[in-house]
Amino acid sequence: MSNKELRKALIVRYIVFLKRRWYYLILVLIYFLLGFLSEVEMIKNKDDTPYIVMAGVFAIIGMISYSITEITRHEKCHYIVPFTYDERKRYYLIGILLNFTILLVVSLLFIGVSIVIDHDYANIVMQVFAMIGLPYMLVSSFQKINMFKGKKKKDNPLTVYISYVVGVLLGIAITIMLLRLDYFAKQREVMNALIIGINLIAAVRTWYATREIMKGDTDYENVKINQLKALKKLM
Amino acid sequence: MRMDYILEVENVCKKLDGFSLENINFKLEPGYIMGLIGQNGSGKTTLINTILGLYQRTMGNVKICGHDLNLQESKAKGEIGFVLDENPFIEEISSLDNAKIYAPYYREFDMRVFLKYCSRFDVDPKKKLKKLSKGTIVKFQLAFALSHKAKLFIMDEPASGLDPVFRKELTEIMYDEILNGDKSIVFSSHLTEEIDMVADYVTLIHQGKQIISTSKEELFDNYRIVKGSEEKIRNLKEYIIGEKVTQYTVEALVKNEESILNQGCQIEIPTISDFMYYFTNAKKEVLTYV
Repeated sequence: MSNKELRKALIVRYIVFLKRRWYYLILVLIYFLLGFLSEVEMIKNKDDTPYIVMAGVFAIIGMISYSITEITRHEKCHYIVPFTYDERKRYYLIGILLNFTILLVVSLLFIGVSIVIDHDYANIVMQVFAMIGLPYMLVSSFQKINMFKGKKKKDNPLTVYISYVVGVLLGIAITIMLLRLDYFAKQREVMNALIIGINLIAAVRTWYATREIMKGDTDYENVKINQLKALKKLM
Repeated sequence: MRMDYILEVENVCKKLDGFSLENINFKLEPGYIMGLIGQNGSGKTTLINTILGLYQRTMGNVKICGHDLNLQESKAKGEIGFVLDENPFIEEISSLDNAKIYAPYYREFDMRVFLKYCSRFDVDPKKKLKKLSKGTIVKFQLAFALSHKAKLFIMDEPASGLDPVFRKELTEIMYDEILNGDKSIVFSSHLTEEIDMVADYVTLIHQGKQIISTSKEELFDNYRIVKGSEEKIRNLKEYIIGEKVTQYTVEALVKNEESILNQGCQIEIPTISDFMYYFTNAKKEVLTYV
């Protein structure tokens, strides 16, 4: 398959999944809205923003987590349909590039608008926008849970439920942070500790997800080998 | 281009934890149906997974329509239509969405044909797969397989979970598909009546080993069931494949040689279930691998 055909296949897939997971879109929009409202609040208070570097790390982890899920999506059908290992690898790469492009375009647009409004405000926007990486990570963790959910309850490893709980806790934490951003901005130490804490949880969550995926693929030996190869090449 | 074989399986071996498939060898010409038989856990599904490329072979080679599964994976897989016991499609979305997602991989997939088959098989294309019965998922897989002009249909226990009416229809569909003589079907089943009814070739697998792979005609020509007293059956010792001793009589599957005549034994033509029984269960010490 040519890259054009692979892109087409991927876009069809995005459309089908977006249609199915429309509520994730709402989730992301809610985060955007909450972030935006917090920022407006911060413009009024004219607070400075020393959290930009950590927030950047935060976003990168979110993006990596999302990408890992995209790389390692385990679908039996992908190994039966006419799709070679090489094509599968290109397909994943195109998928990751598409994800990054979408994220980048949206963030640049958002930041661009912010700079036009107010330079200081733009800094805050960048900080809050960086946190959007986490909701994306949440989305990806939900996808991963679906990926491993067995038909019977006993088929599900405990890790599925742990992933779910960690995902929900992270979601709650970020929501509280966004809602009380003005408070945390004044309590810089608490804010720093929270950002570091959430980053750590996100990093552990990413590592945990990767490990689980590798462990969970023992059903199909070649799937496991291919995914390990793909991960090594891409990471 | 006329091809000699639709499927060529050469010395295929696959090692898994606690199980191994050893030296599987068979070829299937266009226009024929092959039945894979064996007890549960004999290796039928492992073999099918290996042919489909779900498992990487430890050794050996698989060719589909002349395309090497290693060297021309895409072309080889493009010729396969699959119906699996364990649904490989995404259960969270509808049949139509599944078809939309996987259609781009097939050059000749026709969505109209797919919808036509869905309607013929009573599959609601907008219903999520997880809400469909096992039988309906088999029907959906069949509709998908029939929509991309596959040359080789691989079916793993297709009839399990199907009602008798559709089972009959499935048999008719199988016949219709191979009628032109350019397609073939490999299907596994432990329902031996099915194999008796539709298969032209039979491959019997037991504990990961290929016991028999031959045409059904040859199988029925080459073997006989003999019944008689223990003494009479013992006289045929060298021809015995397997035997079953009951309180009053001994029954055995023997090679069909002239010598088995005039022994005073009752001679019958075996059924597929007899082959499965005698080659896999009865007296392991006299079990002969063909």
